[in-house]
Amino acid sequence: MSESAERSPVDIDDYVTIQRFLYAEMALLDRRAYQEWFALLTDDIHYRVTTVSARPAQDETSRFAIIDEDAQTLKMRVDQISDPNLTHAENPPTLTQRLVSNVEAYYGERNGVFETTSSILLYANRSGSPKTGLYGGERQDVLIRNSSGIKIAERTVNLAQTILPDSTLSLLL
Amino acid sequence: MESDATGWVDVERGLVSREAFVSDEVYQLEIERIFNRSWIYLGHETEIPNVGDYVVRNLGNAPVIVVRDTPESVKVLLNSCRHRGAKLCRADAGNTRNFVCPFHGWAYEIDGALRTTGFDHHFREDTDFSTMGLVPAPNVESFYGLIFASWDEAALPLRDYLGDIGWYLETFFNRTPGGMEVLAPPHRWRSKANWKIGSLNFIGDSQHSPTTHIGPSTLDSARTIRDGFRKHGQDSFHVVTDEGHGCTLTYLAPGMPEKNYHTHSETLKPLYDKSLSPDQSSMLHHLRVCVGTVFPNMSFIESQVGAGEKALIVRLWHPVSGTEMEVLSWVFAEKEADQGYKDRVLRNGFHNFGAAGVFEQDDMVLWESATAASNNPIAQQYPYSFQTALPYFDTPDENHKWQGRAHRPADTEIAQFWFMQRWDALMRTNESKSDE
Ligand code: FES
Ligand SMILES: [Fe+2]
Repeated sequence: MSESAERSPVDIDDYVTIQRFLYAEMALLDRRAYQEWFALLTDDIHYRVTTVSARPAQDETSRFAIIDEDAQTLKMRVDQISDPNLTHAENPPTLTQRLVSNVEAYYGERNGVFETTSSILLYANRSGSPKTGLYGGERQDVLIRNSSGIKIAERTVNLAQTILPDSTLSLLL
Repeated sequence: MESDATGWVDVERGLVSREAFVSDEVYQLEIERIFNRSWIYLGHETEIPNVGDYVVRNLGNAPVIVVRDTPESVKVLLNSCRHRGAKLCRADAGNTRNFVCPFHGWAYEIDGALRTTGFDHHFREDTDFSTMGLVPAPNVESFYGLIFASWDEAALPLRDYLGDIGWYLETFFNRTPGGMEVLAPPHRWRSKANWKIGSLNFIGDSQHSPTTHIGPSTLDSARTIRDGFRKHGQDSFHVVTDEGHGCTLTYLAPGMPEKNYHTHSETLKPLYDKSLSPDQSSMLHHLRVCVGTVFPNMSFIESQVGAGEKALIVRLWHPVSGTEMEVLSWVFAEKEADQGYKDRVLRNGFHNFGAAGVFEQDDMVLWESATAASNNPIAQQYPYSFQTALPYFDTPDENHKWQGRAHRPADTEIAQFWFMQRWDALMRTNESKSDE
């Protein structure tokens, strides 16, 4: 983020809290506890996943969304892959391991708001298939802490991908 | 493979050989007899609005540059240098004043003409540089902004090739004076499935919806449309037209009181009535879903699922091999629409149909499974069934008011078998049209 120079990094206690949160949240997705994961989002969540249309290096990067959801539409996505009777893409479930690293965290303008960036690598192996999908990218989150803990208010996952390698994306990152 | 080695489609029994859906030899023959002879959709004019704008696509299995070389014209050029073959453009899109080959520096104008090799003085004096430009597709035409091209010198004019399906395309792409525009770069994904499954799915595979899409049709995303059909009943039919094109139209049962141009933006409705013929506006007035295929591999869908706006989507099923395709998917809205409406159409469109679409994700795994399970000699002893086309195939609806031949009922494989018969006819022709 370009403005990161002006923002102040969180202190070590907050950093550990945020890191733990990001790990625990990804563990929920790897365990397919999608509804529990959904409960960690604010009611006004804005959740986006983008890919790239390749341009010459001297041009600006052309990013565009392949997922752009509010709470209502994201809930449908979550409900669909949560229910074995309502999904073919995730039944049998894709075997996944999500790696989160390079976490940077800053205090947002309001109290209790954190802006974080992190790297994500999603290893996804469709059951019964020798193929493995790898989805890597940078995430930009806005997290909010209140008395009940941390919630995600905004997430943008900027995948380093132009063509999705393994068909369509039914998973969350 | 020899021309008499077909027999993939059994017209009498409504069967199609599985080999047609997996074999790389069939794929090679498809490139030669279908993709290098037909009009192929490449993109939309609004993707390249300014002179020098280009996008990189495929015409058959040949990589091409689709470039706006003048304000009024578009060229389709083989994306391979005449010297030693390097790609002129290695990005997906961009803008340029000329094409300079990065390998040894041959330079071309944006219309493809060779400007200089950089070593012109080392060529023999009688060298005709004017014949050494980038290879152009001999036929490029636009239909309300939809750019098609063909490698076949003797291709029919595009309007004749589209024929009656053009009337339906016109209704979707020319319903306001400004026409439609692409809202974002196309979603792209690779699927280990034969390309024809996509074309067949969109021309009229109504039977797959309740089972493949049990998710969205149970959950809220398809609630509005499902509840409407449950309450009022639905009227759905196939339309098939010459050259193997077709679509499936779905309405609420006749006589149901409904708002005209359901879910379309209020500001656009008066423009529709201005641009469309009376028949076209009555086609669009109460339409719930139209999904169709322009032979061979362009599909389109305008569908209202969920409570949101209808989204118009164009889809390309680009064949990579007998068992793999690359899919491109664009969302469109009317140029005159306000930005808020366009944003909602775009989000709604790819929530359902796109690289992470809640419909698409279930389609793709099942298409891939069909391709994988058919790619062996045991399975290939047992052809695919299109048998539910047969009882109805020769009895079109005589009361059909609009273009093309209508068929009922829609929960049959009539349109799909129509597509396969056209495919078979082309696969049997040895000579290109130019030699006939
Ligand atoms: S390959 Fe293009 S200049 Fe040599
Ligand atoms: Fe489908």
